Amino acid sequence: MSIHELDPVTLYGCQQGDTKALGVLYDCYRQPLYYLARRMVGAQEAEDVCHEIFIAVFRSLPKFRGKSKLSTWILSIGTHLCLMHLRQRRGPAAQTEPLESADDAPLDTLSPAYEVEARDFMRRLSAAIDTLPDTQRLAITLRGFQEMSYEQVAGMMQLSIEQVRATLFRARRNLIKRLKEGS
Amino acid sequence: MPQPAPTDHYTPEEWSAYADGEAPVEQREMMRLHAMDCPDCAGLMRSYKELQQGAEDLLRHAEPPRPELRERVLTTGKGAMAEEHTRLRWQSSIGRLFAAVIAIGLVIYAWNLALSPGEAPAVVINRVLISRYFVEPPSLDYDIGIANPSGRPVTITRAITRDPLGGELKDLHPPLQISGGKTAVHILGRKVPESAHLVPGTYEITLVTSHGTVSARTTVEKEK
Ligand SMILES: [Zn+2]
Repeated sequence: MSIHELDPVTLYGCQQGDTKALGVLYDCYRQPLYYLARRMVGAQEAEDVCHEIFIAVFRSLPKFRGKSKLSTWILSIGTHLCLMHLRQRRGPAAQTEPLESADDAPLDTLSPAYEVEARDFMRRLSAAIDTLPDTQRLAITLRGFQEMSYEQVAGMMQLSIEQVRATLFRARRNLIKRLKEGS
Repeated sequence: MPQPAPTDHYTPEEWSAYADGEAPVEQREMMRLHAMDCPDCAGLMRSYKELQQGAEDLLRHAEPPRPELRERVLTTGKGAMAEEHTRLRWQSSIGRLFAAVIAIGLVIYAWNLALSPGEAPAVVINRVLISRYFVEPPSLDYDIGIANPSGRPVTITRAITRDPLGGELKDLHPPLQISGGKTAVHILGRKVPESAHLVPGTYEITLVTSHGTVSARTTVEKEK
């Protein structure tokens, strides 16, 4: 899903604190930001974190100079806050995730059966994504914004492009493993 | 087209990147041709594409937040923006440019400590709020409220901040002019690592003004 961009007039209104314009911005980004928050911090805290993200966005808006797309900029703030939230919740020790070596990667593929029950597949995929380590879950979630390149994901996650590539691969390998376990 | 030998397979990671349209340009066509002749690799590619499609679909069909959140965001957001405008005015007056701000405020409690001997300072610090300011580089942010009940013009020339792990002395160029009433000022303290929590303990700020020195301190408790 690609996120909408605000037109320049609305953006200017937002920067001036115009309530109507801010409402348009909210309506434009509520779903992706809420989704990001829900994936990263869980349903219970998603609304509060989503609120926090919007406030941070509003506060920073007067300084937005359009060096990146507004949607990218907003998602960066969202990503940063979700990560901060997870760090606060879990403490610094939990930030490292076990690095599996590429050697133990089985050539796992999804069986074509998944295509049949699309709805069930989505439900199971969603549950499987929730079990991923934070970094993998975030990479998969950000890639859900289909126009998000590895470079943009890398910028948001403060990783190198190579790390994003490896993280996405590990995430997918884990997803396949979990989808098969659950079937 | 000859059948590829097993050693010619592309790695699963390469297929994952291919599914994202992120395989190196010079490799894409070769990979496409390879997948036409290699069911193993084709299976990998298809699986990764399905997962990517699934992630996009999940987002597309995601529930929006409850309608109540809109009002909450817009109400709080307006207040936050008003504060930010004040903040920006001050920042530009001290020549600071910030890339992004995400503040986590903890404690709002302060009391005035030292008065310069002989003369009561014209200004009073009535609030200190410590947060981290995610600017380049991330720093401690002392958000202080200053009251100037006398209404006499007061100039703040220097700010000295002290936190549990160190301190910073800053000469303000140009000096801050406080004419009267109440105002909010942001002073950046020491640079801190982005990932660090606020260290619990006492944070102190001293302002050297044209009409005496005024200090305030606040206690930061452990973050939840
Ligand atoms: Zn192959």
